[in-house]
Amino acid sequence: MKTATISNLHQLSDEDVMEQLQAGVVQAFDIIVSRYKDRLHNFLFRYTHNHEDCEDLVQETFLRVYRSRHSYERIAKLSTWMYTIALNLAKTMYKKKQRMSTISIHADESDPDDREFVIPDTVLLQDDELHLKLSVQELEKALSELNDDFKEVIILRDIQQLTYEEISEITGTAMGTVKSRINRARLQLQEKIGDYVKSETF
Amino acid sequence: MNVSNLNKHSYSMFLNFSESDDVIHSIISSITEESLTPAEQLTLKDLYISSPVLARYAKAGLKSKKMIANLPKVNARPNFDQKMAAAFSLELQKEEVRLNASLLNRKEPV
Repeated sequence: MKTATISNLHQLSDEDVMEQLQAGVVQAFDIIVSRYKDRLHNFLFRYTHNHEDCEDLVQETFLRVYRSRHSYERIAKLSTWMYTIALNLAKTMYKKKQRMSTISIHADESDPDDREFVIPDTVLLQDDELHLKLSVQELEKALSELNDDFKEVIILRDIQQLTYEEISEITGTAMGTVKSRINRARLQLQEKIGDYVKSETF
Repeated sequence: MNVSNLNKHSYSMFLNFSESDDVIHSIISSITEESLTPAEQLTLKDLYISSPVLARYAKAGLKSKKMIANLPKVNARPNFDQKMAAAFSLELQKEEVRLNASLLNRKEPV
C-alpha cells in the first residue's frame, strides 16, 4: 500500500485514512479526530448531558479506535465501526452512573444550615427565546427518559442521521426491529412532549 | 414499501395492527422518512382512515422526527484538540514502552 503525504490524507475517504493509520501513518489519526470529533460529541452528549464526561467518552472512543486499529476491516464503514465503539462506551458509562445514582446525599432536614439551594437563572430571556429553551430542555428530558433500546435508535437515526442499515449494524439488531423501535420511540416521544412542545416551536 | 400493493389487497390487515408487525412498521417508516412515491402519497388519506393506529404512529413520527432533527448541535469545545493531542501522545509513549518491553523479552540471553 502506498503511504500518503499529510496533504493527501485530507483527500482520502475515511476508510483509506484508516488504512494509512493501520500502515503506521500516525498523522492519519488526527484526520480521523478532526472528521469525527463533533459528530461523536453530538452523539455522546445525549448520554452524558455534560461536556466534561462527554469529552472523556469521545477521547476514549478515539483512543480505542487507535488501539484496535488492526481489528478494523474494510468490509464495514469506518463511521459504523466508530459508532459501535462509542455506543458500547456510552452504555457502560450509563450503567455505571445508574448504579452510582442509587447512593444519593440529601440535605439533612434537621440541620438548618444544611439546605439545598435553588440557584436562579439570572439571564433574562425574551418570551420566544425562553419558550425555545424550555422546549429544548423538555425534548432532551423526554429523550433521556426513553428506554435504552429506543433511545439509541432514535439518537442514531434522528440526531446522527444514520441509515437504517447502519443502525442495524451498530446495534446488532435486525432491520425490522430497528424500524419498529424507531417508530415506537417517536410515538412515545410525541406522547411525552405533546403537552409541552409544539412542533412549530422548532 | 409499496403502499399501493396493500391497497390492491385490503386495508383489513390494519384493523389487526400488531406493534411488532414488520410490514406495517416498514410502511410507517416509509411515511415518516418521506420516501413514498407520489402515487403512494395519494393513497395515504385512505390508509389513515382505515387504520387510525397507523395514522397515529405516522403523524407522531413525522412530528418527533422534525423536532429532534432541529435540536441544537452540541459540538466539541475549542480546547478538545489540545486535550486529545495530549492523550494521544501519552498513548504513543505507552505503546512504545510496551513494544520495547516485548522486544527485550524476545531477545535471547547473551
